[in-house]
Amino acid sequence: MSEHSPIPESRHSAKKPNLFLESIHFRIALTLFAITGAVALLLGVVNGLTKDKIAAIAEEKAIAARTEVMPEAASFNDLSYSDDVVYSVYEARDTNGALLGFAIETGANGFGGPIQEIVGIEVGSENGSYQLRVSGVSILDMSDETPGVGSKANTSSFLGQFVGMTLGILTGDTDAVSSATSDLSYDAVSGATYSSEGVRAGVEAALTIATQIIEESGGTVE
Amino acid sequence: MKQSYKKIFMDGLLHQNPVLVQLLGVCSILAVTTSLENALGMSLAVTIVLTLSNMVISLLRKIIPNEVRIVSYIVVIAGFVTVVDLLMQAFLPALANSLGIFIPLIVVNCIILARAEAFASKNGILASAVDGLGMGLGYSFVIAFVGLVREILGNGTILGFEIFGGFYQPCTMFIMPAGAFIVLGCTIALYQAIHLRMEAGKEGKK
Repeated sequence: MSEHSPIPESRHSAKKPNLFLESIHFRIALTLFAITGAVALLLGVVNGLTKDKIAAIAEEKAIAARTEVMPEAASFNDLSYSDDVVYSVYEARDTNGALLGFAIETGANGFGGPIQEIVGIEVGSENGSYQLRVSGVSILDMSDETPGVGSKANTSSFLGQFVGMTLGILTGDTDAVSSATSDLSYDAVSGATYSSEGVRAGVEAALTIATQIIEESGGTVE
Repeated sequence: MKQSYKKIFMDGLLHQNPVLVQLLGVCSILAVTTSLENALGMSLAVTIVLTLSNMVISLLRKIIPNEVRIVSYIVVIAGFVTVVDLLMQAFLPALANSLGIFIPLIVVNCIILARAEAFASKNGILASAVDGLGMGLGYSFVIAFVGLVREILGNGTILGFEIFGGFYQPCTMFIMPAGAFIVLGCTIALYQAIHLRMEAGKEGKK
């Protein structure tokens, strides 16, 4: 036998290759393999049983959210657009296929993280140009905001103020805003400026992208 | 070391209550008790996982080599938690949504690993099941109580129903972490006070 590094005599005799199958190492490996294998099998079965239901629930939730902000829509069409703030853009069409507006999911930063909301935008046409107005805002997830403080932005009185707003009114650069208004073109929740601002920024992003889409297809937005 | 099933169960529920006496699983209590509904949902999930994992680990106790016992327990526990998570997402989606990340965090809930190591690895399947059930219910009572107090004081509601009719201005601190610590601390103190009185009463009768 060739010279190995010095091993104490007792160790030497305990680990012989042909006793591997009886050794503790094999037993450990086999047991762990068996346990993890059995658990993996169980998980595979349960996953198979539940995954369709889970996917269906998620889809139902998404459709319900879109319908809440665009109630007259008969169908939604995914425009497959997303960026940092805009998560998804859906065209809302009525039963005749005419464009009613958009349901846009955004996630602008609030106090503790992104505030996921869905913004409904109605498209109206008048005198050859389009007007985009907010039809509704619904919060999907603002769990990073402080409960009892920032979460107060999830009330119908706060969210309702965005209804009817155009991009001009929201960003304060239209004459429609009276000269007596303060710097903010909307009313934030007192004590929850960051959360309010996050909601507002999401609405602005939705209006901006909707404007962009209309202009790219040749329309003019007033 | 065979104990009666009644003793095992009562230990879990009261005398060796996992939260009030052993001070285990405190993180989940603090985090999930912002409303009674969340607390109840969590207690259901924990009790199920605790009982099932205790039974399986007891079943496998003679097979698992000592060197890898903790690893094996964690695999089993994580497996059951994932099963509970998937089932909740499919059949109780609203609750799964409220509890969010705290369902997967059941894997590291100290109570489950502690009972696996201290009891299930050394006792029979039925005894382990009783222990799991007892400890689970002990945990459930505490989490329900804390959840109830925090929701009443911090929100003025029980299970979402206004109970003070708008007269009570909720003390929001109770919904926040500081309030959680305070309510839990007071609950432990209350338990100790009652327990000591009961023990003194028993001594007096002898």
